[in-house]
Amino acid sequence: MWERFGDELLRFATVLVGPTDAPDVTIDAFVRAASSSHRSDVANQRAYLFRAVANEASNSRRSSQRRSARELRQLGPSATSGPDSMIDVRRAVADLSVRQRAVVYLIYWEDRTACDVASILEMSPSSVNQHLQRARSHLRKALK
Amino acid sequence: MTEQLDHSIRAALEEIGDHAPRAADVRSPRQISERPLALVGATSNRVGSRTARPSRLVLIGLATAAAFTGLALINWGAADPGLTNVATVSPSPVRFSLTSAPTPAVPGDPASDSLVLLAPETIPAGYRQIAARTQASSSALTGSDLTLDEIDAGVVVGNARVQADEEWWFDAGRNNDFERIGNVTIGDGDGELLRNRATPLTETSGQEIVLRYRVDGMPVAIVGYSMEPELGDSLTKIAGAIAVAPDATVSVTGALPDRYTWNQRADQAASALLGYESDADGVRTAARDRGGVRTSRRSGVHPHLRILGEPLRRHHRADTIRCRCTRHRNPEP
Repeated sequence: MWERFGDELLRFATVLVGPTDAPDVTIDAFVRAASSSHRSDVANQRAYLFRAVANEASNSRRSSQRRSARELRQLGPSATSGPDSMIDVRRAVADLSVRQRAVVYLIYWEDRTACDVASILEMSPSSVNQHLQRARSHLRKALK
Repeated sequence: MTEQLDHSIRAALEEIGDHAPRAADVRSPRQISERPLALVGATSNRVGSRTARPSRLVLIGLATAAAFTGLALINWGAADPGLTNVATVSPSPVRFSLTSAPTPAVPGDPASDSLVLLAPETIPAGYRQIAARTQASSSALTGSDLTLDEIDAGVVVGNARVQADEEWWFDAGRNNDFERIGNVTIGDGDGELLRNRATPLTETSGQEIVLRYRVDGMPVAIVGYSMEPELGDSLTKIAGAIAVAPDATVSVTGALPDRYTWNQRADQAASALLGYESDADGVRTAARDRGGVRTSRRSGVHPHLRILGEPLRRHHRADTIRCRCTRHRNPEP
């Protein structure tokens, strides 16, 4: 499972919590998922692991809000340089909530539909759309 | 505008994702579960030591979770008969904290009271988050949290300097002129035994010996500190603590005094912690999990080491370490 999904989950986790915490979040999600009594009932292991990473990321964020400042710095030295729409978007992504990031990632990177995302993240499609609209609104401001 | 936004979001996601660690660089869940890099090693002169030297405690915590965390090396003083000053290590976030204020081993000697944390560069890829989360709180040391910025800057914590350079060395105000006197292989890791040139071995002064240890070529710990006449005693106990893997082997080459050879001590330490047995020549401590931790009397190792070592075999989560450390304050009779 790790060989199969490790890289893409690490990428997902990196978008959610940054590169520094991504391994911890991903591994913890793996371990938690592997030890879950519901694991055998899961039809889509990949989606299950994505959800586990998203949940772990949310927990991580809640327990360590102060790391957000570090993550901004970890976006690179150019993150504090002059105006650049791309950089602004990256910073704006970092400002999104974990759920919003997860939705944005799955929609934009994985090309998932709102229904797919809703299934993966265990939320309603309307919630997915709400998260997406808020995220887009936030990111749009970054482009202005 | 919408198209531009979509493009920017995708580009941003790509760029952020490009910073993602590779799975190959991260210890897999299986590796973690099978070979947790978890240990706590503790050693101390006995209270009322015949050397009359101040009691010291060296606590090394490499907690686990996803999981290798870091290192705390703390020396305590004589006014610590019950080892009541116990450092705790816990993940999520990792905190190095002291349950009570450390007491300098030698009153007025700033170098005898130190806390050393690994700098981020010393932590293998995938585990740097530990440093990012590291907090050190002790009113006696800093009175505030230790942040990543401070680590990066090589901040002085108490009397120890946390360095950010790749030398991953520590400087508690001592001469750092070390010479290599031996090599150590424990499990998958290699280490060097270093002796401080400035502290020649004598019966009363002891000697500073440092083990630099690496796993898979990565420096994962700075281990060891011995100012005891029983050269290497502390160090070898810790070496035993490192050998947490069921299939680990401990082998040592190098020039150590005949009086207390490394292999004897390493054998004792490993035996105490893991139930390992040495083979005939004693140089190699064979990996043999005997399913339990021997008594301190049998191994001759300080009972506190056993108390700390035992839970690690069963529960390598640092949460457990913390609990056991608390129990450590009330050693078994």
